Amino acid sequence: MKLDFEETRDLWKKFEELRPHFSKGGRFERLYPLFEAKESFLFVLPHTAKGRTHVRDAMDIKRLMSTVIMALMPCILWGIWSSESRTASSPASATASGTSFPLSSSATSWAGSGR
Amino acid sequence: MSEYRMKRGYDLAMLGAPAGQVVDAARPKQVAVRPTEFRLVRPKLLVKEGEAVACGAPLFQDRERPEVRIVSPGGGVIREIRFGARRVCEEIFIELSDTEAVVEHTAYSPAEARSLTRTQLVEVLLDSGMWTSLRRRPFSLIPDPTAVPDAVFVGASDNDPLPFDHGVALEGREEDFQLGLDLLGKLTEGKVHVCALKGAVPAAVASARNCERHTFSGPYPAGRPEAQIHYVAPHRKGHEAWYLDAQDCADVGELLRTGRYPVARIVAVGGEGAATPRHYRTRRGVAASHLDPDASPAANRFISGGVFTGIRVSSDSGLGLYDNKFSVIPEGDSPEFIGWMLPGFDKVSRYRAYASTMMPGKAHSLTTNLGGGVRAHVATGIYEDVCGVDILPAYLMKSLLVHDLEEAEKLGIADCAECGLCTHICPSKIEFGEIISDGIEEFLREEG
Repeated sequence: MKLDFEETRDLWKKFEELRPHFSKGGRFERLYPLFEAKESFLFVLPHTAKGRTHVRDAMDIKRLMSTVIMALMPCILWGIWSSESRTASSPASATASGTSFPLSSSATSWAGSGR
Repeated sequence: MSEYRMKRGYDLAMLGAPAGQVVDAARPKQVAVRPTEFRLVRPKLLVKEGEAVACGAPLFQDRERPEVRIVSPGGGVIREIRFGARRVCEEIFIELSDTEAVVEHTAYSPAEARSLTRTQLVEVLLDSGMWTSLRRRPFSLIPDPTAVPDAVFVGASDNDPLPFDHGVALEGREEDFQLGLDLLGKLTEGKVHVCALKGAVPAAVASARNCERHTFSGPYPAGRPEAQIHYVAPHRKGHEAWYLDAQDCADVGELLRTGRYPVARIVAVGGEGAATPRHYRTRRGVAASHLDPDASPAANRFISGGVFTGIRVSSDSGLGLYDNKFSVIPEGDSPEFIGWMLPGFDKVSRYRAYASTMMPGKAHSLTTNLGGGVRAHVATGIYEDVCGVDILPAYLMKSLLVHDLEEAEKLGIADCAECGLCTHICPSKIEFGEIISDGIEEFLREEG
């Protein structure tokens, strides 16, 4: 699956038109990081290798960190469920706080059946 | 014969591997030499534009070591001397004449050549210009003629993504190769080691005598002499090993036998951008555009050497002295819409985060695109996973960036095989290779 560049040429042209305003000496020079973030989110930029290693691995920091987030999702969900169920099943903490999270009712029912 | 199996490294499957057949290329009209490819050599030109030059005549010499001279790979007229920034001589073009003048040296019978003393052999190699085919490990410098190496290594292997076949290069040159080995043995008090890949040992290597033979298996850089030396004769301070390519070893034998600087060469042209990836029987200093005129210079990048370590050249530039192939790959200079978040069936990555991971071994199309922006370094540990030698590339890179050469020495700067894998793999798109190469030059200048 690869989106043809021809289909997105107009969008790329828009970025090219805007680039001078965000580059050094431009009106929005200080906002360049914002421009670059948007641009590199939408496109893999046409930057080529300059040194003696002419081909590069397709992985970049954006995708690497995205996989980190994806890999963390099960841990986060487990953490939410686990801490919620523990909070709900502990009478002391429930009376002490006097409040409950929106998920607590369902979490209690899951925990109640298992423990 | 001893066997080595390298566990770490990385095999990249690319489209356009050169076919094993050898085709006779037409005689080129010009050849070229690039002075910038020799590390720490400050060239002093010995020729001018328009001057006639004989094949084997010196073109320039090192200012620090005048005895080290680089000779012309063809006879004719100096058509152009191309200078770069700060008047650095970048390339010398020689237009070949129909009747090439040749510098004649003394020709020896094989028995006479084998009876030469070390001093006589060094003189012959220096006079003829063949000395520059030798490089010393560590740091890949042209060796000092007064030094004596612990060992001499002959590399008959290549396993980069577009590999050169040493088997076809040495076909019919068995006697010259053996004579070369016997002569190289005079340069060292140790042994001559010949390294090949397991399962791809050239016939000339299999029948070689008076040498230690080694076979290597495993992923790239198992085929690089720099990595092989690391395993067979690890670097010790104050010691050095010399190495050269198997074709150059046969050339040493041919030089002594014929008395002429050998210019014939088997050269591979590979890569997706090449019209017909294959091996050619041609000569030193030939241009890629001569071998493969159908490869478009506008759409492709021409590289003298491999895709991990080669030098970018123009299509009319000559093949490097230490190279035996041109890699021609498409330029990746067009943007790709949301490319980084697509599944990536057509993306090549060692990280198992692309769909292409489900198709191991499939050859992919690779361009010169960085595949992302240059970002701060993230300690992922991937560099150590792919590094073929026992060093920590990330820490080495950091020590070189802060010019801590003492720390860099402890981290094994002398062991680095300069294979280019850490640059290839880096998700932050940092030029590891350039940083390490600059660091090595700084280290050598400090050392004096």
